[in-house]
Amino acid sequence: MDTFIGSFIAGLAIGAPIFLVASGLVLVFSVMGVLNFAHAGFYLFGAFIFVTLGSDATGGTTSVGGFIVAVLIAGAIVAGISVAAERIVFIRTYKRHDHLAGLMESFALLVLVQGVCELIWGTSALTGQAPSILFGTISIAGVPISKYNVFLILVATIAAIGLWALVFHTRYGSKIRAVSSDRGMASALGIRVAFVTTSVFVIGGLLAGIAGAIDAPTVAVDISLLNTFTISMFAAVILGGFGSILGALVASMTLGVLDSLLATYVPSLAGYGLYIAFGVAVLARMYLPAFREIAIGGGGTI
Amino acid sequence: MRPSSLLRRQPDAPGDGGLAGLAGRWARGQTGADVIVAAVLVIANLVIVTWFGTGFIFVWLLIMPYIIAASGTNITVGWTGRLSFGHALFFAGGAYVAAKLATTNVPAGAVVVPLICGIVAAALSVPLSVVAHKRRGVYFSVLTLIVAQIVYSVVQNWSWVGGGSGLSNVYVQNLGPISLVSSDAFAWYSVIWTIVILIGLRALYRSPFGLSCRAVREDGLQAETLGVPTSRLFTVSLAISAFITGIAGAILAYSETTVSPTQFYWSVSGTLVVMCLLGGRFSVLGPAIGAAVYIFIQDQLFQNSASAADALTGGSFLLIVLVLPGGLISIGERIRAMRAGDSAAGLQPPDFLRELFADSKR
Repeated sequence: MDTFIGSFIAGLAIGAPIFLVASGLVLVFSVMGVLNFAHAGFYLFGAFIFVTLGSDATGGTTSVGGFIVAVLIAGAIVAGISVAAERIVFIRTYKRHDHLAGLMESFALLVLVQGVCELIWGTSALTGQAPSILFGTISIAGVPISKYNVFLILVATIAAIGLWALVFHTRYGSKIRAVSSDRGMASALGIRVAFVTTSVFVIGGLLAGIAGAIDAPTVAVDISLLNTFTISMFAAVILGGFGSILGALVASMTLGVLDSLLATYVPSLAGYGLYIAFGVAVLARMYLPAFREIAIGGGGTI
Repeated sequence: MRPSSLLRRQPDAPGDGGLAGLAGRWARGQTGADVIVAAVLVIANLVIVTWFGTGFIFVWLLIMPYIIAASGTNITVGWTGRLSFGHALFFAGGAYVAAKLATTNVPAGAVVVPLICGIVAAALSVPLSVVAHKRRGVYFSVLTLIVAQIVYSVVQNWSWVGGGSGLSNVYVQNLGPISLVSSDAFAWYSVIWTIVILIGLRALYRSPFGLSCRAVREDGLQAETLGVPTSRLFTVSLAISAFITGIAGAILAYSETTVSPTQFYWSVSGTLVVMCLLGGRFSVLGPAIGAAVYIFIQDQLFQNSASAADALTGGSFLLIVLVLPGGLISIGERIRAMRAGDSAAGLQPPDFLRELFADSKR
């Protein structure tokens, strides 16, 4: 049982950064109708910026203050990149109502991000440094849990609650939902659609940058992360039913936990968790009428 | 039923598509573009084989299979307007079949083996059609991407096909008594495949099938109302697309003499899509041009710095998508439109109507 709980919590920690990235993607998708292929690139930017800040800032990211500052700077820079991408690239897409073009443009952006990352940071793997307070394990009900995993889950929880409060319980959130359901009508009612869209890109970029930064100390940060993370991110979004933040949360966590449990109990299937979940979801949608329209977490808008 | 009235403009005279149309045009001597395509490729091949060093022949031998693969992919991406990110499945599938058949003795193997590879790839497309035929837009892209990824990770752990290291010593089979293994002979072999497939695709593009594909792309609902069997059309078009991409896979395997699971990776599908868009997905020859330019930039201009090549490919690709949605092949049209003072005319891609993507947005 202890093994199960430990493995389960490790799985939630795997799902946490996926959720941060996927929720930003979902937010952008529901407001813009464009699935941003380059979103995983924003995550990678966050990780690289965090590693760079950790290597030369005074004390680096091994002190608590330096760590927090580095995470926030990474988030802020990536948010800036995200807005630049929106102003330069995606703004044309919703003027043209051409979703396919948006997909292409974001894919082109992904190739560009990949090349730029290779140019700046090279192709060898880097590692981020975390403060020592996050090292080691704490014991929850007799089960030793890595402190860093608890930290990751905590950040994802805060982000989930924050997003929920923002989208469903603020005036700004209702504007986001209005733009998401009918752009033209929202504009006619006096909502500044351009502002809402840009700000959604800020949120998406911020979340992706923070996800990359907090994930950097636990993974080997290199360019191949881009490809693997794109797959996890898309799987979470598609399993979560496109355009539902709650769905993205449930799907990310399901994927993480499945991966972790498989690695613990069926090592020969480790790494296939994503595909198993995906296969089950696709078949369920095809053959079980009840699942045809709903995904995990309910689907629907945001 | 030929829903050609749905198209933006009507470049094709009725009855000049398909094999009969092709034969008719040849009989009437109206084969302009086909002859030009064949002549350009033959002359390029002649020049490269005769005067260029082995280094460039290697690039040329890489360009050929990618031209075929991009043209095949474009049946899905350009003709039916569905952005597939799963064509690496067919490309690598064809390559693996060629690798497994490399040591067996198939009669007329040089011709038959690539066709077998194509048929296997077409068979691989059937489950994908079943899963994806109702999906459009973004959902389709991601679905194909993940299905191809599943096959990638299965192949990587499957020792019968060489596991993570793949298979090596893949050589083209003899054509009767002639050995095609030398790079010169193989260059001619690839060029003939490329010419046959490009001319075949041009005929198919003008056939009722090609017109129906384009009609579905422009407006699926309207096409269906006019009697186009959209769902079956999609299955068939994906199978043809996979068939041609599979043939390309076989030629790529012969050209590189090895196959590895990385060919299944989704970035390969991405490369094929990039080629289609770079050259221009609204034509038959666009993807071929895109493939040639892409490989040339990637392998020739920036041999010393792969990362600079990636950054530049990405940057120029982004620029082309933004400025020239019709791809490189539309440059002439664009310039003509700008000269005529209509700056918007060359810029606009055909409108994809909103309901085409209604499913993905729900």
